[in-house]
Amino acid sequence: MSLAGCTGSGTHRSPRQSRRSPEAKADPDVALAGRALARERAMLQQVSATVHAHPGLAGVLAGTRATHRAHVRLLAHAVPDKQASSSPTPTTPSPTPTAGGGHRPAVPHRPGEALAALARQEARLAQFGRESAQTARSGAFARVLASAAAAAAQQVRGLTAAAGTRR
Amino acid sequence: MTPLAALQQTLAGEHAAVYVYGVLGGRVSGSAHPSLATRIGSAYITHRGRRDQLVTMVRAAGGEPVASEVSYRLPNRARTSDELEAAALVTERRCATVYATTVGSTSRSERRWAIDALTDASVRLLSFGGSPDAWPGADEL
Repeated sequence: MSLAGCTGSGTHRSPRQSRRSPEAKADPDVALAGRALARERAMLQQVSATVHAHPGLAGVLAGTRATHRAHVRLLAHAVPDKQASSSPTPTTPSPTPTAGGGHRPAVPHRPGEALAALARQEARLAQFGRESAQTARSGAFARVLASAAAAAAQQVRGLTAAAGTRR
Repeated sequence: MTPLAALQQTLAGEHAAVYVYGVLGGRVSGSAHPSLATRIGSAYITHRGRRDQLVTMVRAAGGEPVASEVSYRLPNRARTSDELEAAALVTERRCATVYATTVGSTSRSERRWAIDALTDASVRLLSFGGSPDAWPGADEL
């Protein structure tokens, strides 16, 4: 679903709607969506790397992965393709090269620590989402960002609890 | 929706939440289900505080705060501990939906208030047996 579909009021414009307007290039919500997309993708990469390093956590992390896939899917609709591919991905510590030539984020060796690391990254994502929702020009987009931040906060709780049982 | 209308709608929701949690608190057994009693009591205090904040916010926005109804329909029978917990879960989900709408209809300090309330309700509902989901308060996304 595109962000245009979540407009709750006729007075609010989504980034996707806004970029069709003459002042599109200056719309700060499009840039905000690009940053949010980059962070969501980074979160998804970290989850995938964690599952790769600890296959036994695949079930625990299925919901986390689905949540961020949903966020990426929606945000990708709000960001022009060129910007989406050029948005800087927040760096993660000591990424390791993969067979495909890309880089996989570093993952702690112990499953409990890996989950705790994910929880910390979710907490940072939630904070970013709350701040972004506060500054978004479009009310509809603010709602999207606030909801995504709330979802990240839910993940913090679940991941922290899961990490606690594996220490 | 205007910011004032959004605040009034949120206040109406808080009136309902305070009523429901008041009833749930009166029915939960503190000795048989101490954890549930604590969680319901905490939720009651939180929503009562939010209701009072909203009264102030509505007045600051130039409105006359919407009054509480005499009574509200409970989400379920609310007799067993499972039903009490389920009623609390429904209440938090409804509140999350209202808060998300308020985020989209307000700005500055009012939006900040709604963002924080949405996060709190989204996490709190997990303590009443809810599951994490991708879009708390905005299910249609």
